[in-house]
Amino acid sequence: MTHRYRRSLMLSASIALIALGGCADSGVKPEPHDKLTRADIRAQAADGKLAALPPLSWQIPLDVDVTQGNPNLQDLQDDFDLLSWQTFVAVNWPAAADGNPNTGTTIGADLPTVWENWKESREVFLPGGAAPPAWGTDPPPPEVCKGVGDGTLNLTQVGKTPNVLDESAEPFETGPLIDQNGQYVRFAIMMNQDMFNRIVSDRLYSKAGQAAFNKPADFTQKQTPSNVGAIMIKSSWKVMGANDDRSRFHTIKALVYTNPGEHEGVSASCKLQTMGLVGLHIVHKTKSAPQWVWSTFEHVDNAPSLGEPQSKTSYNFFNKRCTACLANEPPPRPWNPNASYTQPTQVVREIPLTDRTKNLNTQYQASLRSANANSVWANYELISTQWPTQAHNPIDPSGTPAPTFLANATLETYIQGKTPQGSSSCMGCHNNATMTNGMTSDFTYLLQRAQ
Amino acid sequence: MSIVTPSGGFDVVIVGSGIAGSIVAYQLGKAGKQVLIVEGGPPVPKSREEYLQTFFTSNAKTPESPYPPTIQGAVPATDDNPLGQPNPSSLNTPRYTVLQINAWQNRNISYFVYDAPQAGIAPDSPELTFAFGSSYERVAGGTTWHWLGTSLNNLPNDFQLKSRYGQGVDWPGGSQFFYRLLPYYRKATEVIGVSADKQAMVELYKTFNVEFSGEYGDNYGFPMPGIVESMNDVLYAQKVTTLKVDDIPLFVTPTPQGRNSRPGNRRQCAGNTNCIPICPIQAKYDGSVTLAQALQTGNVQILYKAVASNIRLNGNQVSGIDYITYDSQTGPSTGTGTVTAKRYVLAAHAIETPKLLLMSKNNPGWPNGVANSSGQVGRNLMDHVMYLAWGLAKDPIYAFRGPLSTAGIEAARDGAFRSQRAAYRIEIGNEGWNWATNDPNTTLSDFIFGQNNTQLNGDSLNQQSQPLRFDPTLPAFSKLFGTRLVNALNAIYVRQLRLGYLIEQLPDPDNRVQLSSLTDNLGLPRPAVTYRIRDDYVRNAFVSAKQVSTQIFNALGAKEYTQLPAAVQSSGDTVTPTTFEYKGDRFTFYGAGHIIGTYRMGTAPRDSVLNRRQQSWDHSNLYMVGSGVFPSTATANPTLTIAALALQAADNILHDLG
Amino acid sequence: MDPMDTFISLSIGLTGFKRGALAPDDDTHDIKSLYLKTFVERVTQATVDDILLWYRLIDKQLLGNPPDREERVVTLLFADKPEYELPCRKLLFLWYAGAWPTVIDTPASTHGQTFSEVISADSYTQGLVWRVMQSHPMGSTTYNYGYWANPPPPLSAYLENPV
Repeated sequence: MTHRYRRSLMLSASIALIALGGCADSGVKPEPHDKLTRADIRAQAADGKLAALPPLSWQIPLDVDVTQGNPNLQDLQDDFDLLSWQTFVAVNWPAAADGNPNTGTTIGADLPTVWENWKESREVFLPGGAAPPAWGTDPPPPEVCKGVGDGTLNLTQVGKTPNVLDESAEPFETGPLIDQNGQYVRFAIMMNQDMFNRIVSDRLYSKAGQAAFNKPADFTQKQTPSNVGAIMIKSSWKVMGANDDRSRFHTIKALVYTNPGEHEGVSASCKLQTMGLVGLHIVHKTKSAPQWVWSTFEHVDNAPSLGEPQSKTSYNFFNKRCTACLANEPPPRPWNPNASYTQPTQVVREIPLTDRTKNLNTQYQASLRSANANSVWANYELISTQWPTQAHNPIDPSGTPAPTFLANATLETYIQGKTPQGSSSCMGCHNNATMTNGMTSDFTYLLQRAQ
Repeated sequence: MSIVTPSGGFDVVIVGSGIAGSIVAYQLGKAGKQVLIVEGGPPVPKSREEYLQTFFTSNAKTPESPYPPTIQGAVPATDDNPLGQPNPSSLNTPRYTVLQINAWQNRNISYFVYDAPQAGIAPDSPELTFAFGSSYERVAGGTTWHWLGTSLNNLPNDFQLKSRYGQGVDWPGGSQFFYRLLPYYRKATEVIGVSADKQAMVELYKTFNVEFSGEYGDNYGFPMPGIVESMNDVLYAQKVTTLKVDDIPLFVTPTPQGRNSRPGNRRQCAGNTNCIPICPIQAKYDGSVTLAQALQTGNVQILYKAVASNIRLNGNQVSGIDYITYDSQTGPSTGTGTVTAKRYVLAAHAIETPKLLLMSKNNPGWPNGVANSSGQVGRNLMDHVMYLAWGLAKDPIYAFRGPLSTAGIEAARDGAFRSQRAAYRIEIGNEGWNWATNDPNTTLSDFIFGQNNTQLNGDSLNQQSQPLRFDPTLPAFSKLFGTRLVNALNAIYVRQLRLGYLIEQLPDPDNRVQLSSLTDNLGLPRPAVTYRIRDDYVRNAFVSAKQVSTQIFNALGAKEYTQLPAAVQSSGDTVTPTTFEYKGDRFTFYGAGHIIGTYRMGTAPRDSVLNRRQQSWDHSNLYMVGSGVFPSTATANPTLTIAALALQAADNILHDLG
Repeated sequence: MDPMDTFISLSIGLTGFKRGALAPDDDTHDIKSLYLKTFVERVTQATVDDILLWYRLIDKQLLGNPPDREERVVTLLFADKPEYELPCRKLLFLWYAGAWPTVIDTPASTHGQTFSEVISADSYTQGLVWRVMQSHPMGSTTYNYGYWANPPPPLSAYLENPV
């Protein structure tokens, strides 16, 4: 029996060395287990002797690192979950003034992150199909936001953060998510420079450019430590209310923009608000995963899982006292993000985390706390990672994903089940994504926003 | 959800939230009018998961299979009810389903109550009665949940059948009805989001001389480019041009379809081959899209699980609509109420709407029901009666891929022949023998268990006397496994062809919906249905369709597998539901899912229910929408016309409200 | 050989599909386990045990390692133990349709007919009948817009790969 990951194992092992090398320069305080080889660490971890993880690093891993000799499905899931956490740490690393990781510090304090310097979809797909401004140049915020304040005010070190949150609807109009304070959750989609560059070079930012390109979009590129390949990040944020413990969240000060085009009858508005991160999809096109690797994280206080104890004293999206609340029901229309109060959504995670993922979360949260006892990032957890088991399956362009279904309770609140086509599957759904000319867009719905 | 009555009261109450009711609600809500919808069924679910789950696990994947109330496994299976279908009298919103067709004489299964056929009636008698062939849904969003998506205009001559060909009736104003409707047709394509190739449609319209000027302007345009045609379509397109029907040359036209050929608010069509019963990704439009838009205006409210039971009159004006509420489908009613407004719209499709009118018979001076001074309510029930033909192509065309249908032969939708026989359009199926023989299951069973229900695995001959055994080197009733099974099944499935003829039906006042003495769980009468195909005009089209099918399959080099129906039984346990004899031949008809007539528009109060504004002749504050208003079936699938007429009705109501 | 290995070999012989399609290395659906369980529930554990035992016995006697080994074993199994042909054919139907069949003997003219009961949403979408037609389950495709205008991948791809 041959295994599809044998070949990529070789490649990714050498990549991992580079990543570790990069880490040594990063100024991160070396941990004792840094001296062990990766294989040693994993072997010991498997023995249960040592809760060993690779060191916290700003280097985004290029691909999965398969260390097992003849890996089974669970082994590979473990490897992808590890990749997810490494990527999470790297993209959330504090950013330097130029937007690159600040290699002189470690992750922990609530500082602007690397990915928050990336391009927002709003900045790429411009009215009239205009070419987007160069990387590092901010277009002005929407007209209605002028004079409201500066979304980067308290984020002194960086020129650029997701300073405008301009979405409030989950995919395909399944509904908005309302937090326990009755406020709409907001969303943003960002892309890294490698993805942005490809969109610009292929002129996929406009309808005319897509028509001229006249073939399926393809974000495949040669990956190097400085060009890690295309990454998209979709984030969800809740308004920090008086009763929210801000010290438990990664927060930003953002211009919260209500886009009148999103729902009929809603007027444009803009508010400067402190927002807490509650959900994060990280999506990376890697060599072994042409369908991209889909990692999804949530704040640990979001919602209880079906069939598990409600162990938190309170949740961001669940009211323990409301026994009459129907789980995962969107609010009735009309939807209006400007409403001062909307009946909160009672969210329950329908597919609980696996024990293996929970264990990895515990280890990573401990590691983050050991780097910084008050680390906000220790309050996040990996839900799971979706990856292609058959990346080049001639009869399944979606890559036969594992796990078959995966949902983030803040991003796919209303489609969390296990029904083919109906329930959330990152790769299953994004496999349908196309450009404005109807040709496939390489698993991103962003390109259909081109004008 | 609790209803908040606006300070000035509601402007309009609408019964039903399908495509017609939702369009009227959205148009009025957008204009600032206060609207209340009374919907008998449950709300649109938060996602398609629940409906899809029910569909995937249904044993019979009928058009209604995904939707509540559950129609399979509802009660323990028995010999005479192997699928466990519920007793309609136990349900609060029962509806007719295609599974009930074969059980049409069983009143514990069939929601429609039929009389037994007349004793000893000849199988070719025009008086032979049948089961109705088509079904509908009673859920928010309505029957478009399970529509195909075909979005064709009718033709001017469809509206002047009487004056032009001496058949049936004209629509009010005849061909002028078409030209008045044209801007609304255009608007309807926007509502639905129709994908179509304008040039192909214009070429078709030119053959019918639709625009005397020859200029086809914006009203003939479409919001999205046409849906890609299937390999199947291409084969027909190449071969049928050698043929003529009644001197009309045949050609293939890509079908305008209510599904996305480009991404938008809904996903681009991925070709799930499941438009009916359910599009899993909502690439296909359904009424829930417009319902959501209506509710988003903030001026439209909706009561779910509220079954309209009576229309109140005050003098000649409607003064309120009574409804009954329930929580669970088989539970007791939980309350009653009455809603009032300045204007009322009935949009409960062509069975429940006339039923409601007929049930409302306690108003002084209106003993025959509301809006029924003409006695026409419930009459002229019609469908596009369908003839199916199927065969195997010489080379693979890869059936079971793409939308269920992407093209048709429209050329025979009008012509001089219409003084003699009904017109039809020919739908080209992409779904192999799924409809025709319940494939893939039947072919599969035949070759695993050595049966011959498809005629592929026995000594069957087709109606042209050709032997049909798929592999003559194998014995009859072969049982295969392994590689030989793989090769046989593959070779068959990838070649399966299916044609469907949508034959227009004439209004017949005796084809009608009445109230039966049986009731549903809320105590409301179940419909009594009488249905015949009496006109030679319609029967002649079956003869034509059969001949044309054989010609088309011959032109393709295909082998025809269309089965001769079993002999008609007009009495006993298994009364034939949909088969008749005509001119020495035997035909089975299928429902197109187009329930038409029962509250028709007309030019005079004595023989119609509505004027051309879709307003009751009897009660000026009452309007009706949906295919029930059609005076005849015309030749297009009805949904685009339903949508256009709903848009026009909304304008009339807005005008009346001032 | 554990029972699952034998069950898969038997299933290969019956269905004509390859191991990679029925029991892929990274088996995200694990439909084989549902089918073995269903087989046991419907025809009894003792019958399944005996069928698998006979399969192993016949397999051992087979000389060489022909490429159609599993099909040869099934042919011999049906010859040696004709009473096991019908349960095996029902298993074959299960793999193809994702549903358990009931075979009745009327009408005689067609040598009877078959009804079936869908096991689960997953079994419906995993049915091999969709792959043998080089397509996808009705209601669940992973292909993209317009695929229907072009021929599908070759049949062999469908016989060898999972979905």
